[in-house]
Amino acid sequence: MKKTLTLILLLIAAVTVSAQSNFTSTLKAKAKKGVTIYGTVECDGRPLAGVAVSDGYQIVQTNKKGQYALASQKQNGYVFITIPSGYEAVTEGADVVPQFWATLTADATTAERHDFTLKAVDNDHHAIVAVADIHISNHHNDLSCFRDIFIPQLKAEVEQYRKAGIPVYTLCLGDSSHEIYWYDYNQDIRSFCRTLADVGYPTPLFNTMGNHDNDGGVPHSPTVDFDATAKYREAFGPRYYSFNIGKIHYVVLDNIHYINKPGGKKAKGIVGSRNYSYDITPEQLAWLEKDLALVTDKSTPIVIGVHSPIYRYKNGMSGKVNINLEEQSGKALTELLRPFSTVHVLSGHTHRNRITICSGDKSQPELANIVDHNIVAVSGSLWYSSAFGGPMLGSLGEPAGYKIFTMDDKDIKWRFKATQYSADEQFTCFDMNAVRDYFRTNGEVRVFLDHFPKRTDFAEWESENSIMVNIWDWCDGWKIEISENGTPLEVTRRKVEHPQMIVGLDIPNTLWRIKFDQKNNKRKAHPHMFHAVASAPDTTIEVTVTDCFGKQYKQTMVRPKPFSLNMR
Amino acid sequence: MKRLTTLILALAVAMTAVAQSTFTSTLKAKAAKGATIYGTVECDGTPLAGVVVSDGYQVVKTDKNGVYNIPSEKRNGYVFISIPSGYEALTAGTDVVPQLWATLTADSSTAERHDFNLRKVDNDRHVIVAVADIHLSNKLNDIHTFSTSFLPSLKAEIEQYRQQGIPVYTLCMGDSSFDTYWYDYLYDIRDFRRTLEDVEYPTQFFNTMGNHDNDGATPCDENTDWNASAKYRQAFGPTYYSFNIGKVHYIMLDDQIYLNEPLPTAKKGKGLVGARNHITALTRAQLDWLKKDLATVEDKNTPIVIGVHSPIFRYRDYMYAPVDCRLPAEQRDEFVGLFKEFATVHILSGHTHRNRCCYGRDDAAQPDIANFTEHTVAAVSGTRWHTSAFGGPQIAVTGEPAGCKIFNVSDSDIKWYFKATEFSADDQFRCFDMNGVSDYYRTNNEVRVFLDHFPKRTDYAKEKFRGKVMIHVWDWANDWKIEVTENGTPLEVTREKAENPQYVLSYEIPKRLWFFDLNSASSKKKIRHPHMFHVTPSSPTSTLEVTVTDCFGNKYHQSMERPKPFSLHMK
Repeated sequence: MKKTLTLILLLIAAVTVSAQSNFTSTLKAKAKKGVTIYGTVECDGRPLAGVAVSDGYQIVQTNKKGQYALASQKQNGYVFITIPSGYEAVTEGADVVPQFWATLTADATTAERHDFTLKAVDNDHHAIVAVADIHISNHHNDLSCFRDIFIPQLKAEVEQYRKAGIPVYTLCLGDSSHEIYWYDYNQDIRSFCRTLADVGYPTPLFNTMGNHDNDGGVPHSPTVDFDATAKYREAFGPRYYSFNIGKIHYVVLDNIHYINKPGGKKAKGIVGSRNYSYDITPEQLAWLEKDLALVTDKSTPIVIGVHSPIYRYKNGMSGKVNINLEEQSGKALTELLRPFSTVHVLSGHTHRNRITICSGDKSQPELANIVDHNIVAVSGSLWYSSAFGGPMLGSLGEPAGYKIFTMDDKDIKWRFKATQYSADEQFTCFDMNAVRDYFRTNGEVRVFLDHFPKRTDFAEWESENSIMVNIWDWCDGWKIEISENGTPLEVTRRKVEHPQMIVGLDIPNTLWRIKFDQKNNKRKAHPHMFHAVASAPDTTIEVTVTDCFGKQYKQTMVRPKPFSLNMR
Repeated sequence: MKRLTTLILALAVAMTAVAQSTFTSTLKAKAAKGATIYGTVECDGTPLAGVVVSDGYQVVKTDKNGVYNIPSEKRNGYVFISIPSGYEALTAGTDVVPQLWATLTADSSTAERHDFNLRKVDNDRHVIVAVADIHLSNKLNDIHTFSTSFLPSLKAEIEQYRQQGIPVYTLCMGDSSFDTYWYDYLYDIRDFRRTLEDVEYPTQFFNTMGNHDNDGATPCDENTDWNASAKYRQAFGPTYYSFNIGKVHYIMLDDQIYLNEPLPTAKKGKGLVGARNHITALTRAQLDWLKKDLATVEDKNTPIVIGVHSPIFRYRDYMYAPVDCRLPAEQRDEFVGLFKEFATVHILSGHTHRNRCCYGRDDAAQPDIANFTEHTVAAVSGTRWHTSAFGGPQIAVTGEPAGCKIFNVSDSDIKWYFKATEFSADDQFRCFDMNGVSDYYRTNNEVRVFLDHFPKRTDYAKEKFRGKVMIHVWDWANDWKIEVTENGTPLEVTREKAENPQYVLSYEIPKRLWFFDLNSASSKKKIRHPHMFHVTPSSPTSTLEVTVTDCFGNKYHQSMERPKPFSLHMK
């Protein structure tokens, strides 16, 4: 009986929701000689001309009858369209993955037909929810936190746009699963696709592949990077593709080259060390060149979704920018993007909020059109801090959340939304006297620092009566003002550890797990820390932060303000 | 500068409060010939006669001048009194450990004087709070949860007795610290002593030594057990002693012999040199002292209450007779024999983090233990503070809520009840609608993953559990009663060991899945609770009336409306 039940549950798990298009059109289409994939693209029976269709190598466009034909070698096993502006791909039932691709079923020399249907929508004004690193793997209450905490507040947020008639879409930046746990914890990337339907995810979701969405059960080989994506492709289709929403051209790329060389941590089903490099494969770049060539208006803003950040400040704060890709693909990508006036790269992977504005690096003028938004994880730090009774914290201490981009024609604005805060909250103020007292008297803090003496001992904080402000999504162009009784205080930007990260993440992960790995003995300073010294311990402080769009966020800080794990 | 703070903190840690008596009397006393320890016992200048004083080997009484003399070899390094009925030992400042002993300072051939001062109190009626396995070690928010959850709940509970003028004392059954973590986590048994002060523990605190209160840095040799108790003795004094409150004679024993053998399986941790293993047994010295101590109790109707860490008697199957004695076979008869004249002996123990009440009288084959009742008390720490750290309720090992036991003593009459930290004293059981449990087990992914790795654990998703109701009576004893009715019709209640699903959710899943410990041998085994009662109602939506009657006739009642959903926090 138990076996039967387990079997039934496993079967349910196996029937993955499939987002691929299995639409059959009544429009006519016929394969010419040499064509192996063909079909039509339409909207309510009306053929759509000029729609780009690709097998990941070639890109063709539909003719006026809505027909396309590809002489494909079928290397990727799918065909996909680039959704044109003003249209949406359909989704089926509770599924939220747009049906913009079809899985190929015939052998490479046999012609097969795949049709697509779209619905018309006015999306010149639209919103993009950028989420990253959801990391569901059936532990640390991850699924219930995602379902019961994240989803309800996202729904409320999305509802505001819906009410205003603005369509909302999600761009997910990868690592929705965690491959080391796929087999031990019965949750792989296909299960995540089902989870999205189960939890009633509120918008269509365009996915990107993260390093942890690769199958660690695929042994290292020259083709492991492609082979390890089989389950991802089964659930989400192409791992590089593009689509248009309103006036924006979106491109999704896979910038993780999975290697999985033998060795590493042991877990059920895992045959390698799950290592990877940051690279964009040549066939992706070749496809991208063709894809971008179809975007003839180079003032079209390009938004690229990738898992790992590409353009990053060398010092994590400002100025010199590094390209976090193998040199060749980094150069090639930058060259392809150069003709465009505006490029936004959206990325995850680090579980940190970082905005890199490349125009600040005067030594690399070829990057001046690029902004890289690295976005903190929805999971915070793999859902650990909430499981241990604390707030949901990213890996350096900012709150877990996501970013909402509002696109009005070619105008792009964004703001960070922390899951456990309203959108009007953008920073945390620490009374450093209270942090110091907590670090002096809390036994667990003392034990932690005894084992990891290189970490910041706030019991020794350098100045009396100081205030530290963590601005969660700071970037160049933002402003901070701190005043005491109407008198402005001098504010210095610092790299300092986030005290709630130490208490909410590092202590549970070491002391509670009884693991004193010395990799924790390295300072993890946050680059968005702002420090000011007040004249007395009990004056009220006004903090005003202005974002790059001129929106102001204010907090009145009554002191003494106690420090604790759950303080806001 | 950082080093300096650490140093200051380390020094503060080292200055452990000392509860030993440093009182100097104005009464006259002179060492008798051969006496190496002597002194007086008094109450505010009035000498007290007949007070029992011991060095752990010899037991003497004070004379009419309050003077005692012991020709001691000073083997234990301390002298202690057995507080007489109607008196209390003093405590200093915010300290809660009674000053019933003095640490010896001179060499064994030099006579030294140690005086004791007591205060008068009417304690024929008194209350004992029995706590066990507090297990503080600077992790899992333990000290925070102890001070912000357990203490307020305890303070509220004893307030009713305080208001009636009834004195309240605590007996602690050991394992207040955790030897494995003493050095890595900067917290040993002496720090626990200071914590009691810091958190303003609300009653006098009589301690017992648990296996985890031994110093794991003590190398294995013939004196390990004694040497490993040095830090305990520094903080809490004697490892075995007695005292009288009202009409009851209390005895605290250390029933574990620490071996700390250098086994290959020994867990590694800073400072540890052995496997921290132990056996349940009494040392020869304790048995000899115990005989002398009991001889001072002339009225054999005096109820005896013994506090130990490790349970001595338990039902072999945790439910019914036969009763096993956990002392070594060669100690069983001697131990039992020491109490044969006494009418009533209660043993209070901890160690297992489980509530178990074992009546010696249930085992007709062992008439010599009929006067014994053993109360094993669920841990204050529940499952070493894990479940609360993981965001769940405080649950002890295998599933009853964490808590303590309150003994209400009036002359020779002793009554008790279990007090769960997160419940009122009127809450004594929890009802599970197995349809709710089954739904949860069917749909919760973490449960499915857990059962996939630990297939011997109960899968409540199975059809056979549906339609039933399971009632967990937290401190069940074999003279309790349970009645369940559905629409006025009594249902047949069967007792059968079963797994507590909340224990699986609150402890097992986080500890195994979250800590990536999917091969834990202890979780591979079946884990079932002996205090589980089952009924099969005729309808899944009827309301059940559940009445549990304890051994004193107190009735506890719940109306159980169904369907009742199951969750981690379900009450």
